[in-house]
Amino acid sequence: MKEDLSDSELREKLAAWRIEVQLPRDFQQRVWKRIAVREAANIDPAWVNWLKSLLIFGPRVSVPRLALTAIAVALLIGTTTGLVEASRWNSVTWNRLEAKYVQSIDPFQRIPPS
Amino acid sequence: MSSPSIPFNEFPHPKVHGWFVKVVILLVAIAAGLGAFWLCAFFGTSDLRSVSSDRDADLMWLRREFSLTDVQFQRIQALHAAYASKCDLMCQRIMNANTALDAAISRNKQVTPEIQQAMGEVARVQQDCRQSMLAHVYEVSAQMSPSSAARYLQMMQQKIFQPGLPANTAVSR
Repeated sequence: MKEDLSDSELREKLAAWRIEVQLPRDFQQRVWKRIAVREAANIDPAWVNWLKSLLIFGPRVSVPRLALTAIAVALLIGTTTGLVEASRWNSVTWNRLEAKYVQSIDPFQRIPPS
Repeated sequence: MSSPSIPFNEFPHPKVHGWFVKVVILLVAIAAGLGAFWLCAFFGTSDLRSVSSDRDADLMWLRREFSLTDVQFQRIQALHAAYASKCDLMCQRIMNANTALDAAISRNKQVTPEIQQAMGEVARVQQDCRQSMLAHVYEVSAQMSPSSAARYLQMMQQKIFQPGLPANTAVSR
């Protein structure tokens, strides 16, 4: 076993150490290919990119277009939920009126249970 | 030598201005959505709201449900008004009979002739009431078209005469 080297001797040995490595011919191509594969895996769906363009990269989307899109979406959601709510209320009210008529001709349904 | 004047920009930073515009757009969109919701809900329910606020809302339901003509509706309206006073009297009779039976049961500790009489009265009143109700249902259905009458009779049968146990219910032995 060799004796321990001093700091200066170690430094000299490290400085003299040379590694002779030959890069493969297609090394650069392989690196770019790996970069492309990684980038392809990170690509978001189209709708996410569209949303990002609206929110984050806002300056790229014109203000009128952004406003038109936002208002159109809000109107669609508002109209749909309004119609659903109207339908639900109508159904509940219709059943209530039916029960009211039955109650008007059936005395047993008027008298509260003791 | 005068120092050069430093131009003072009165407008906000472009980034702040951009966010401000987006917030305004968002608020306008929310207001538009709420407005659309309210309009659809309001006009979508206006018809039934006018019906349910009517004094004879139950008869209006009957008219629409069975597509009654004006003549049919007027006749049924008259029948309903005549029956209403009879129905009130029957309600009173039923309540009186039930009260008497409750009192008899509370006073006694076994089945006595008093209780039997009270139970008989309750059963009689209930029978009278059901017969009167059925007669009214037949009278009303007679004013309707055949298809509406059949549907009306079936509905009243299910809701009034056999609400929990129809005739074809299997009874366990």
